[in-house]
Parts: sequence; C-alpha cells; structure tokens
Amino acid sequence: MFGKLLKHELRSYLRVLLPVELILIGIALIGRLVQLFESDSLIYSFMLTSALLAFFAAWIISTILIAILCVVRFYKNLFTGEGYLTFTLPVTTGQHLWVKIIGATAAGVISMVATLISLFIICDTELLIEIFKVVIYLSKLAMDYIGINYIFFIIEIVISLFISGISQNLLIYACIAIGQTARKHRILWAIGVYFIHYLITQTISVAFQFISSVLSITGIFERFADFITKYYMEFTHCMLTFSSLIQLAICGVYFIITYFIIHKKLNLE
Amino acid sequence: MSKRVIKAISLILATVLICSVLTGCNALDTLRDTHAKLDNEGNIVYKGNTYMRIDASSNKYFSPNAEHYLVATEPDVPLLLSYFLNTYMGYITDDDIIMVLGPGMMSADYSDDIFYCREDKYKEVKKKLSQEFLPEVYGYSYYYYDDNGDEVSGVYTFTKEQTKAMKEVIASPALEDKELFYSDDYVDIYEATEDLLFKKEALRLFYSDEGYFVENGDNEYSVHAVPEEMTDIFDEILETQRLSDEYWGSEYEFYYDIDEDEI
Repeated sequence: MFGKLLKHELRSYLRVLLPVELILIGIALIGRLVQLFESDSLIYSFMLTSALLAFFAAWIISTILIAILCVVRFYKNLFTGEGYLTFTLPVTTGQHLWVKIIGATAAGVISMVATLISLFIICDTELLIEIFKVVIYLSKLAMDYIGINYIFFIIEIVISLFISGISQNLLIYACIAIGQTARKHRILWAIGVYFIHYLITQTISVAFQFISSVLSITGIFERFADFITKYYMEFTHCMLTFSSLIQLAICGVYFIITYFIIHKKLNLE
Repeated sequence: MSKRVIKAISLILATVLICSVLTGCNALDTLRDTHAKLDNEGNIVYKGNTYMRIDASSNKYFSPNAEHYLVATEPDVPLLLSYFLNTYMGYITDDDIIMVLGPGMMSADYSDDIFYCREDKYKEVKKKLSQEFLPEVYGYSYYYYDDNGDEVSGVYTFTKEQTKAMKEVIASPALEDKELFYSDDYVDIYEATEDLLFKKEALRLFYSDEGYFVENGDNEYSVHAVPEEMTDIFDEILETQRLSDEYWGSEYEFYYDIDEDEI
C-alpha cells in the first residue's frame, strides 16, 4: 500500500512538474535559438538579454512553484477535507509522512535535473565543454593538493546539502502541524511558529558567537589551534560529518513533532 | 511509465541532442585568438605555429609593433582560466611573427620584455638582430577610439615622397636660439626598417598654426622649419595623428627658443 501511495503522490507532483519544467526547457530553447543569430548589433544584444532574463525569471518561478507545491500538497492532503479520505487509507501515520517527504524530495531532484537540462540547452556546447574542462582541471589541482580527501569532501557536502533540503521541508511540515493545533487562523499560526523558530535559531547563533568571542579572548582556543593546524583534513571531515549528524537529529525532531501532532492531535476542518 | 511522461522525456532528449549540435560562440573564439600554450621544450605554440625564444639584447633598436594581446599558459590550463593562470602575457605582431611578452599572473618574476619568434622566421630575425640598424622608412604610432568606441591603433608609415621631404627638412639649415615660440602638439617620428622590427626615435614633429617644425635629437640637437611648399605633404603625414588628437584633445605644449624672423 505504501508503494501505491508513493506512486500516486509522485504522479500528482508530475502533473504540475512536467508542464512547468517543459516551459522552462522551452524558454531555454528559445534562448539558444536566439544565439544562432549572434552578431555585434544592438538588436541581437537586446534579444539575447531578454531571452536570458526570461530564462532566469522562468527558473525562479519554477523553483518557487515547486516549493509552494510541496507545502500545499502536505497541507491539503493531511489537514483539510482531503484528510478525511487520506486517513482512511490502510497506511500508518509514519508512512503518510514518509510519502510526503519522499515525494517532496523527488520533486526537488526532478526540478534540479530539469534546471541542469535547461542550462545545457541554453549554453553553447563549446562553452559547456570548456566549463567541463575547468571543472576537471580544478578537481585535478584539488586532488594534487589534498588527495583522496577531495572526493570525500564532495560526498560529505552533497550529503549535507541533501539533508539540509529535507530538513527545510520537515521544518515547514512541523510548523504547519503545530499551527493545526490552534482553533482558528491555523495558517497564520503556522507562519507565526516559523518566525518564532527563526528568532530562536538566530538568538542561539548570536549567543554562540558571543560565547566564542569571549572564550577566544581567554586564549582557550589557542590550545586547539595547533591541533587543528596539524590535523586540518581530519578536523574538516569531522566538522562536516558532525554538522550532517546535527542536521539529521534536527530532522528527527521535526519528524517526531509532526508525527506526534498528526497521530494524537489531528483536528481536521 | 505513462505515455505522456515517455513523450515528454523523448521531447526533452531530442531538444538536448539538437542543441548540442548548434554551436558557435564569439566570446570563446576571441579567447582562443588570445590563448597560446607553452610546450615541454620551453617554446610557445600559438595557432598551430611554434615560437622560440629569441635573445634581442644585442640590438637596442629591436622594437616590433606588437598590438594583438595574448597570454601564454601551461599546456593543461583550460581556455576559460587562461586570463587568470597565465605564465606570460603580452602582445604579438599583426603578421604573427614576433611575440613581446612579460611575466604573467602565475609568474613570480619581474623582468623586462622577452621575445619569441615564429620558428620559420627565426633564422631570418636572428640574422637581422646581428646586423647594423639601417633605417628605411619613417613612421609614428597612433592610438585612439573612433565614434563607435572601437580602438584604432597602428603605425603610420611614410610614403617615399614623404620620407624624401622629411630628409630634405632635416638636411636644411637648423634654426638658431633666439626667441620663444609656442606649439600645441607634437608627434614622435621614428626611423625604422621596412618590416618595422627595428626602430629608433630620432625626430619630433611639432605642429601648430605657425607651421611645422622638426626637432632632430640624434647626434647634434637641432630644430628645422618645414618650408611652406612642403606644408601639403606634412598635412598628409599628420592626417592620422589629427584623428588621434581629436579624441585625446590637445594637451602638449612646447616652448623653444627660436627667432621669430626665422619662422
């Protein structure tokens, strides 16, 4: 049942994603066709600038649209009248949540792939080849300088970005879920919760920076400076892994909050 | 997978394939035009030709007119990074024979210009470097921007008639120091070989409403007035310089002791 639910979730995403991304690709194609008439004339400059601006605007709009779609699907499917049907399905609350998380992540990945394809279309092939050569050259330099650590850094950064993306979705789900516990103005409450969360994280960040600067005056960090300088590779790996684990833990917290509210405190409209 | 999704994916793939064939980028062509690569033997390869380093220290008049910008990088540096990771940067002559290079972004040295010569002309240029400088033409360099904002630069080379007229002026009696005269502008005239590889600045041509004057600072310093009957020839010589003056404005002043009666 979980598989079927996931399949339908992805299908409903594709119903919106496909036309949006096709439009983006279409605009990229127009931009490429304009470049066939490359010249020094003012008209060509104007046409090219317009095509590039249109492509950039289309990309921004499609990205925002996907983000809104993920949020709206979660809200409508679980917290509005649709919820009455959704929760009759023979699927656990946790599975419902996982379907939403996987669906939103898949939509994000499809959007990224479509953006890459459209960039490939709008850029000249020779330019793409030269960009590819630059990437290879810089990677080779990095490999010469830091060896195999370079590949591990890439993997760690990609994983960190991936977890960060899921974390953002889960944060919004948690805010919506907390907002649903109110009797009235639930969406406004959800937005309010998001801003409170932002304030708290910013306060913690500033407090942490303040404590760090106070401690640095005492010279406590100097003891660690030599160690970090000597083992900077290992230290960087540890920091990246640690930050990913922290992110993962935060995702877990958001997941638990959302799960608990849906499982115990659900109050559909 | 539904038919609609398959159709969409096929359409995207077809678009990508078609676009990969449509190539042409002027900006890349411009970059390629200014990108040379060092080879393992310390030579430079540019547009399929090999350039070898040539020592020009023996001939102080070696001064090729190199105006086409280029950079020389290590062989593996990609085109898009050539302006940032170059070993040498400098210029090449319009006939692509001589490179005049200086230290690039990746070079830790500061040195005078170094010269590279195209392999097929190497012996010829090396022979010329060892020969005595025998000027064949006069000329001057110019540089300004036209109405479209495009750079216009080059060397104006005198015709035979103009060269003969200049020689006559230099050979005429010099003016004596008497009183001040005022001249708005001047241009440095050099003597050069016909291929413009060797140049020596020797003359300065002053021009004003009062007439033309040639200052010869070669062996003995002297100033010669251009006779009225040669004004047309010197008008022709300075036609290009005046276009440059229109752009840059008149900024130069020269004061020289001269007898007004002599003008």
